[in-house]
Amino acid sequence: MFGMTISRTYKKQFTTFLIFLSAFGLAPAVAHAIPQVITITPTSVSPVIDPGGTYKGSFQVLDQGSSSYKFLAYPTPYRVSGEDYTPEFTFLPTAPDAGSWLNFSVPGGYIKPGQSVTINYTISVPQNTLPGGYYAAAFAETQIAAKTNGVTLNERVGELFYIQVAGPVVKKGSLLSWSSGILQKPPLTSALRIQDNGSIHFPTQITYVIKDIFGHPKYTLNTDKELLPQTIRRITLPWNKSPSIGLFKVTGTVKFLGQEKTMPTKWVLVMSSAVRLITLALMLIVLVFLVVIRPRYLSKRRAKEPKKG
Amino acid sequence: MREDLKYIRVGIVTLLSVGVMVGTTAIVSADTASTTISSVISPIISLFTTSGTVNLNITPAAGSTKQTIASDTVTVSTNDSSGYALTLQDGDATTTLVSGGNSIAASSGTQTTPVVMAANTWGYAVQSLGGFNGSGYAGASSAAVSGTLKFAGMPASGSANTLKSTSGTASSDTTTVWYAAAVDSTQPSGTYTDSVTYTATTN
Repeated sequence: MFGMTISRTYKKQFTTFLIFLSAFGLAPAVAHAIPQVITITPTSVSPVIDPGGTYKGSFQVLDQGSSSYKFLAYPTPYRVSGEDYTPEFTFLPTAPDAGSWLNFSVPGGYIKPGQSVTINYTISVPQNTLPGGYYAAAFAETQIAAKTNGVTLNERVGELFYIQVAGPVVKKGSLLSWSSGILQKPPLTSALRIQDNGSIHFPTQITYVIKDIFGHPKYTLNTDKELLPQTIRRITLPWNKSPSIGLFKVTGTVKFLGQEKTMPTKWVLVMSSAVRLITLALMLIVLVFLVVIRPRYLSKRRAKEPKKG
Repeated sequence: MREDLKYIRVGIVTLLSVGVMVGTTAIVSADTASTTISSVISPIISLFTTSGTVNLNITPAAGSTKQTIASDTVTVSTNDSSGYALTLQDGDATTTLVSGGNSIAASSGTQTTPVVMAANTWGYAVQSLGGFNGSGYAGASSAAVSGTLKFAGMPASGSANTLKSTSGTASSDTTTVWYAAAVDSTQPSGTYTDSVTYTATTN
């Protein structure tokens, strides 16, 4: 963990400590004795494996709640559908089942509060697999005993596997569009469409910045998104705490495959429904004044003025 | 002579001061060593629900359909900057609430086009998502069926519906899911059950 000389034992303990620390820091609600919290780490892995080769790794399942529970660990295929990247964890007959390449050391376990279970896995790529990207997920799922009535709610968390089978691949992608409506209701939302028309996944780093009219940053979002081959991904960037009214400039950068694209600045006027109604009402009042009240007033005034000559 | 001694004293003091300063610097530089401290924060994603079970108990009434609505809150945290996707699906391919040989069918609505609950159906809703109502969902017990609140049928395992998709890290981000069942007096009594699965993965 540290550059300093620390023995392996301490390193391992410290790593576990850090995972717990970061995890507990992220879930303050745990302090209120939530009975069953399931956590998995890491959240994704991107190994490069030769055809016929193997890769060994592990993930941890943590219980950050206040009660013990049983969980199942199992692999599934992973793919996405639509530009919104709806995740799907089912087998597609027309594609190799990368989920079946994963073998776990144990099929699950029993976990106590504050403890973690490490699950080792081996990814075995079949000999004649073509170079390219293959995708799978590893899930840890709570096993809640079915109740006598009602709907039982199971929880599962997953680690995504972006597997590259080594060999010649085509890395190709482009930024298709960048949009942000000029008049919006809160939350202010922009969108990017990025295409991967190669044969392998690649990561994108997006920086999205919203500034006020004076150029002061009001919101910055840094997010990483993975693009899967032969897909277009629409990435929605909402500013969830945008105000009811305001004029803003939105911009940002996208980095992928060694390129950096700057998103041209767009002006956005944010007006909530209530603000729009108030504005409309004010405009109506002004209109009524200008068209009806003022001409009447002026004509009355003219009538009262003594005629010249 | 006195003047000379004064100059000699000032000279010695100056020399000593310079010596001390240089010496101190030498000592300080001798004690300085650079240590690189790095910390790898592991990416995590966690999920929990408030209840573990949602009870939809209903006391039917002759000649009318009664509806019970109850909620569950799903909480997701992740320090992965890609954000997370939260999906919901039935625990298996059978999407009905089952009690022995009897069942309550899943609502015919979908997340995109939800519908008002029909008699002897059950479903779910997430306020402001897809075609669901933007407001109005609230707990109800054996009440008259709301003519405005819309629900969707639970998708079967393998056909999950996305409840939320985010960008960036999330700390205890909550999503409230409303469950409802509506029955009339023709529905056989019994304890009806089903299981659903919430799934959280990074995005």
